[in-house]
Amino acid sequence: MSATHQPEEPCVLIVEDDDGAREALSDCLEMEGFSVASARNGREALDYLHNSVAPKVILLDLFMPVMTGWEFRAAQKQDAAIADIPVVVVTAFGAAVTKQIDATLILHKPLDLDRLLTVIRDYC
Amino acid sequence: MDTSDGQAELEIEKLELQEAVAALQHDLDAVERLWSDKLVVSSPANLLLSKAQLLGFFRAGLIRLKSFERRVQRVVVDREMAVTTGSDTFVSLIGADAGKTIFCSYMNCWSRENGAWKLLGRHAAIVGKMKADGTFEAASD
Repeated sequence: MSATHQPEEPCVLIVEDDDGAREALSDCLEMEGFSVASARNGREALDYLHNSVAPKVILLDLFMPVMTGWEFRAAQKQDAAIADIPVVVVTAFGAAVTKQIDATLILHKPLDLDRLLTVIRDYC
Repeated sequence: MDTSDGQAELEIEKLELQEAVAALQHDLDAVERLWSDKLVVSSPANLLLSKAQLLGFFRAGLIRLKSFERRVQRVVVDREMAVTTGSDTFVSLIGADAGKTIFCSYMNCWSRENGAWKLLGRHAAIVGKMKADGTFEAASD
């Protein structure tokens, strides 16, 4: 299964199962001039990373069907070709849930767009 | 509507409905007039957005509604602030949920700025979606 959207040289890969949330976030970033790829779950994201130009940063939801954010991150870290791509976890859940994941940064929903753009600009 | 009597409550309810109509009709002059410059919105897509960002969405054509029905449930006014709760039911013309009927609960916060009520804050959450064939989707986590 392919990712839902695949520009040739993406800056950001959004991994989010909720169609509305994924599309809204993608629209926001594209309006700010960033190229965006997206995937609906961790499996789609891995497939994308194995077959496409690597993004500068990954925005990762945690609770997703097929492959969760935790499972994606574990698989990513085991693959040297993609292990170093920074991962920003985006979640509504607190430390009780997020403490098990090794992420570059954790941003909480509702996602402050200004804060996110500041983070993205550091990578892109 | 469940509210105590009062001119301010009625005014706020009227403004709530005006704002819904303005959004539906893509009337940016009206929403600019009704929204505080300090507006912060916690959207159903889990994004925190400013007035400028929301207006940017409207202008870019990323918000286009086929229908929008607002039910104001309660209005509470305390001096220069007001809080409302209610539900919105809308159908978008674009996007991943285009054509679906979206059901949201919301809370709005209004403040009186230089004598005029302005929408200062809003939180809205999707409680359900109904496809065109009548089947329901549960709200996402």
